[in-house]
Amino acid sequence: MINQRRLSRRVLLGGGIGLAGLASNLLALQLVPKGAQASSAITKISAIADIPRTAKTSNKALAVPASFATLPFINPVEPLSIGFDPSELLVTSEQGTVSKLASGQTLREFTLTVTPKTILPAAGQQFKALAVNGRVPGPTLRATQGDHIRINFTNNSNIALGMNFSGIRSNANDALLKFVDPNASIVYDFDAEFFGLYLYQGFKLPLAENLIKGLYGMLIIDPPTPRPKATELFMMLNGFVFSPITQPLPSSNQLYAINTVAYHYIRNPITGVTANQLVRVYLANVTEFELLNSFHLHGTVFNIYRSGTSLKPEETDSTVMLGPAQRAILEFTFKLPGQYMFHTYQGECAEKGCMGMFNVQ
Amino acid sequence: MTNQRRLSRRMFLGGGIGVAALASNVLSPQSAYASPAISHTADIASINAMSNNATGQFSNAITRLSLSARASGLPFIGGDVDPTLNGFDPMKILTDFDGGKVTKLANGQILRDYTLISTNKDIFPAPNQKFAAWAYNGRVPGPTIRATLGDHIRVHYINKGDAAHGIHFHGIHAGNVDGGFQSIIPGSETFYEFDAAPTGVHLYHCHMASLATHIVKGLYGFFIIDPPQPRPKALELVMMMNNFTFKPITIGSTSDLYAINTVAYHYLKHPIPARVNQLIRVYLGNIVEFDNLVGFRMHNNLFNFFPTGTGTQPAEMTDSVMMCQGQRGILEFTFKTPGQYMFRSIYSQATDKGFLGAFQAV
Repeated sequence: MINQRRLSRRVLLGGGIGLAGLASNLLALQLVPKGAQASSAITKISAIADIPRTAKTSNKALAVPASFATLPFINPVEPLSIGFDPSELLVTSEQGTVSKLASGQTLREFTLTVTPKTILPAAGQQFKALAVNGRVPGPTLRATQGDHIRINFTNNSNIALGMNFSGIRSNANDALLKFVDPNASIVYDFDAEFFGLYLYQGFKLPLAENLIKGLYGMLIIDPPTPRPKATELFMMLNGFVFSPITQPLPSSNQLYAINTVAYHYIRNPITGVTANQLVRVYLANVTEFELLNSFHLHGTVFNIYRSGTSLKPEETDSTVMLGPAQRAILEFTFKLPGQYMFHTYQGECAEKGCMGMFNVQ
Repeated sequence: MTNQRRLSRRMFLGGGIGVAALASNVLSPQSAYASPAISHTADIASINAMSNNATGQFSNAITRLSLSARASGLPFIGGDVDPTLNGFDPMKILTDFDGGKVTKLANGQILRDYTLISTNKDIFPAPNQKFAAWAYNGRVPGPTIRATLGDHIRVHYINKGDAAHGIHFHGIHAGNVDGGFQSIIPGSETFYEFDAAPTGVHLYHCHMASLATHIVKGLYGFFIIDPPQPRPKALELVMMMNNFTFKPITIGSTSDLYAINTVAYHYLKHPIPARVNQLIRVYLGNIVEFDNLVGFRMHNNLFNFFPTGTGTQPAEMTDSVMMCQGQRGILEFTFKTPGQYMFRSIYSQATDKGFLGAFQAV
């Protein structure tokens, strides 16, 4: 019943993708002993590599409406080099260094380092961030359900903080127990128990003024049977306040973005997506000082998988609302070539940078 | 199918729960609902003893957090509120379910009689922070009224406060017992009578104008209706996300303090004892005034979420839920390993003003 009122994947996929891979996409999540995951994990490692990474961005096809010229931060000049490119963040995830534990379980090791870094969410707008691995958001970490994850974490900031991973069911990594002093390191160890789209976030009170510095990133745990092949994009809804944060706390941000740089995907529309090609967006919201944020896509509708913990969509819409720390996986196709905007539905946030574009061939 | 993709209950339950204490589901004045609740009060002492015998890791963690919070100048984090000062203990409110006085009607239907008395009462949501509350039965939130689907509910309401009040129940009832229209003036009383429906976690609250004032001053509580076939046995806890302002209450007031069950940081200073592999069911409600939204986030764990508790299938497995005022839901989860587990608002601002607590799992 639920199934019938959703876009079926067959519709989404159009005719372009072989059906052979689809038979198992409704497999229920079944918990099996860790050891038994090994073979499917191996399959998945190669499957990750097979996912098309064709999406890229280009500033050649820009067709920004003239009325946009008055918006703040719409400056056609991309910020000077800040060590990371939102067009790269969009399509880049890390699978870690892979090895096997004696038990046969796949071990994925990642290195995360927090360092103070001045970034430019817009040209000429300096923000003193705490960047994870030199970028905001931090790297998108990716594993398969059943893997063991090891994070080698170093805190090169000047405050003691912990890194908190959602999606795990163990306190072994609790940010309280494992506060990491400046210039100290620690290892976080946990199992990737349930597939889903999760976050890692710094933990340091007061939360409001520390989380906004950039201490966040996505953790994706893939199901044992991979989701259907798609162009996969990672989008973090975030915001920045340039003035010092004092009480009373600000009621909004001065700049909003998807992956940090205001209007980046307007200046550099996402290309490499063709009509009828399945697109999967991993969407998360870490915007502070806003009760909610959202994502709205023009010209099509998407299936929504809240928290990514189910293989069945809960809803089909062109808008999804997320509170802070909430996530969703969105799946969609474009029926026809053309330019398709996406943006938050909150007018103020959209007009302060949270907007982008697909250029579909 | 939907069920399979969620945390399975079998996994949750593990083997660890003693059955002896659970056998008596007979009608009696205080535990007459078809309760799946596991006694918590009896277990608290032994869990706390086990926690203290553990490595000391947990208390160190809390101390460290408290120190860190104090150092960062967060309000309300220091000191503690003596429950005797308030006349109610947030730890007891968690598991205090009121099944009413139970008798049978001639037609065989179960009748539950409750008495709710509203008074003016000064409470302390944080040390030295006095708030002139209005309270049902001397507590904020008011008593958790609990029944089984189809029971007949009769609430005797007496207003001993100095303003006109009433009780409006969520759920299905006749218009003339809505409680939203009838002002019960100081010194007078009334009865609200209806059949308990539908299954779920509902609210009751005073509906006099200004609504914001009557709510933020404390006139609200849970109204839980159990399904005829009880939910699986669990440690059951009620958590009301609420807030207070220490400024005059007007349109446009802002919140000064956020809490679960009234006292800021109470469950951080006094973590909620729980057992590993024990199914835990939280009845979560949002009565926060002035803010359009509030949310609940659990650290280092995931829960199945049943919006409004009206269904038996979880809508989502997640760690973060968002609710507008008046929304409710049921969370089901277990702790897999011993230790402390934080929970907080999804909003940093509310976390930094008191909405932060922890479980102690042994």
